Amino acid sequence: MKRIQRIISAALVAVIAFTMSACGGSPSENSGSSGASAGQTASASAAGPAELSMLVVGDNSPPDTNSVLKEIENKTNSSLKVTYVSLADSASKLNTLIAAKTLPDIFWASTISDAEQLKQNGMLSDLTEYVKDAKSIQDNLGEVLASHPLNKDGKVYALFNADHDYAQNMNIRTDWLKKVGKEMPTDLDSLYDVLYAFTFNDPDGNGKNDTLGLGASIVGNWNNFTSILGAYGIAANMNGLRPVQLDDGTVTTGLKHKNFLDAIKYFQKLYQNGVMDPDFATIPTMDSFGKLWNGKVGAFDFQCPGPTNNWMPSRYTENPVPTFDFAAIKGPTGQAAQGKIYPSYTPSVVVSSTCKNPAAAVKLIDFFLTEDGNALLRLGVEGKHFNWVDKAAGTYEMIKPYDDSTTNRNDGVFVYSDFIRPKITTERRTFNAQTKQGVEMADAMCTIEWPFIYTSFEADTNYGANLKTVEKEVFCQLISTKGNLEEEYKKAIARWENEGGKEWEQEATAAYNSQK
Amino acid sequence: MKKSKAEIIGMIINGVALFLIAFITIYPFWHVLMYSISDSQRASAGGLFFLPKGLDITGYELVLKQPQLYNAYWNTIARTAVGTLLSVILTAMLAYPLSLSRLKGRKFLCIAIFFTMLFNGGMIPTYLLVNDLHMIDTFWALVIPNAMSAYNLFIMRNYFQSIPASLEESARIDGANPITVLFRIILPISTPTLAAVGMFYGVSNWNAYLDGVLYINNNSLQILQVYLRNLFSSAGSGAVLSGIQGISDAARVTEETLKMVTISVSVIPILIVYPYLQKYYTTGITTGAVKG
Repeated sequence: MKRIQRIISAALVAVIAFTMSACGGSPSENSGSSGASAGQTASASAAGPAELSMLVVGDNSPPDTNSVLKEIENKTNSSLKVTYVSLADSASKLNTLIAAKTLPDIFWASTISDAEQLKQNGMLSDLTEYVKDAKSIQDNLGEVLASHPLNKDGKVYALFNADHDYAQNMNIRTDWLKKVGKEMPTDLDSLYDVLYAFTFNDPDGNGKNDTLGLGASIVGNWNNFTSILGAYGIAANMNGLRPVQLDDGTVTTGLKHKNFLDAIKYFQKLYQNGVMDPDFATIPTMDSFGKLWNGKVGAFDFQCPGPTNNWMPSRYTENPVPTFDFAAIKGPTGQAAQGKIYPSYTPSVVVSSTCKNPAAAVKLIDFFLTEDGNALLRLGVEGKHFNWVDKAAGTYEMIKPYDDSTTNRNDGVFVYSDFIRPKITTERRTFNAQTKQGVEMADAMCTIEWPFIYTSFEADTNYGANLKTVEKEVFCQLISTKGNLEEEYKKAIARWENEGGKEWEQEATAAYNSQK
Repeated sequence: MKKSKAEIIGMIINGVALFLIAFITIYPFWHVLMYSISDSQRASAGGLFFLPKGLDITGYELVLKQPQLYNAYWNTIARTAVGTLLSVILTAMLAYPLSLSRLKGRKFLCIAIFFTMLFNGGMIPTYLLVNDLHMIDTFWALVIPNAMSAYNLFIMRNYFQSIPASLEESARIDGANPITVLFRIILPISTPTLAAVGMFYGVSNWNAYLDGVLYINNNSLQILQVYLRNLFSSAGSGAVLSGIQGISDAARVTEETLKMVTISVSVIPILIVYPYLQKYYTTGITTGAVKG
């Protein structure tokens, strides 16, 4: 009996020993670890390339030998070890790296509170001295660098994108306008007339009643409703992708805006007369794009680089492809407007305190913010992946076989382009003329003041996600109701307040005031 | 013998019910497959997919022409093969002594193991352990941390308990030691449970995702599920919102089609293996499950 026990014990010990030895691997094999291993072993040799590790958040993971990475290394005299992680997994990945004290040299802090915690725990490098002479960083961020919450004590710990997201355009199909004999709409009434004609006057000429005026989806965010809500003075799709407003010193939901009910009445008119997509409450974002691509809708409220540039012509199935222009829709406020644009502090690009060569890290980030650096990240290596046709005009052509996104991303093109962006990105430089004009037009319409809150607060953590859902549900319910609108609106506001809205208002207001 | 009317009606009802169950089980796979080879734009209109809506294999071209896909496939096949083999051996070696009533402290050991089914160290402590063992960015990080499943262990232990003790006793009388008894007597007559547990481990290894994200930074070691997920996302909505003009890209392939293609590419290999193990599956699980 005892013999058997001894044998079994010995067997188990042997298995454990085998397991341990099998997984051991020499520490040198771990040099690929994303953590600070590269940084820890890096020596800031004056002659050799500086070794740096980066954590890149995105959905591409090209081979380490890709051409773009090699070109970055050549241009910055660095040797880069890049780890790739998807956005969905980035928080888990970063948490494990923090716990193991193996932070990469350069990485993203996704939220301000994450960045603040890292700073408080001494995990970030003070970059003040290094950024002083970094020309591109100064050119792009110089004026706003100190406004970042991490940099408010006069020292620089965080860098961020110098550009801003695209504002929304009401994209109108001009080929359909011509067919139904209408002019570009300028206000809510003329917009309705156009949408009605797009729905019922057979703009595609196929003899079937198979078109819709306005394509839209509320499933992802409020993008597709921005222009109409903006016409009523409501900032619809701000940070946190929710309608918000400052009402007599209180930060609250855009649902409580004095014009919200009027806006709902307008949407009701569109919905109940069948001129907007009846599936707007449930249709996934991509499927709603699909209706535009397949020639089923004639107007679409969305940032114009999609419809008139990035999707043109390959996404469209009609022959000839549709033509667009942009409408500035004025409402009761007398203005075509949408929410004002504020600096985007997240994600913050930071350098870990374990980085052995922060000067090289800043040099790398500085290169990313140059015109040539951003072009390299966005379009690849000139002469290999693309050629400028007219650099000043922003026209280029991709070189085969890199005109295919799978092939070019596999060679590093586009993969790093969102790591940090300059004020004027290559994307903006290379838009076609119409899109450039559309982007400028949309930017000019961003005039509605709204409370920009970049700090996190408890009520937002506890109730924010649910309130976001409640707001969308209320919006859909009010548009589609045939009951007493005022009554239902009152109940909806009460619901919003009861589901955490009251606390959210108080804490959001306090957070907003604390930023001043 | 002539069947009665009631028997015939019963058979028809059984047949219809079984057909419906089979249909409900098979149709999702069929839908995914048919959608994946349909024309993207036509498929995005929705509906049922008994047959493809316009044949288009662009999605497969897009996925299969990725050179890294084959590396990821190889890594996943290797981890599945090595991981499953190692897991089955380790599980059997622990399940066997735990099935012996004469083992002192057996109850305590079983409770201790059961405890790990309810509570575990969590993601970060596990990561720290794997890191301290220098397994980060090694193949073994994919195999060792999840090598033993308490659930599978109990299934196997219960099966071993159902084997008559006389078999072991007669082997011992013939001079066999416990290792010989396990490998020469017990395991050869436990193929149903070994196959079932092996399949559990195999599927689990094949589908594993998070360990690839957390423990692997080197792209040459990346596994299929992580790779496909990234591929799917990179050609999906993100690319749509920020594409490059003039790129032919995945333009003709919608996100939904790509989703269907990646599901097919990922699932088909395991579906091919499944029927060969299925006959063992039911026997192994039921025999292992009934004993307390």
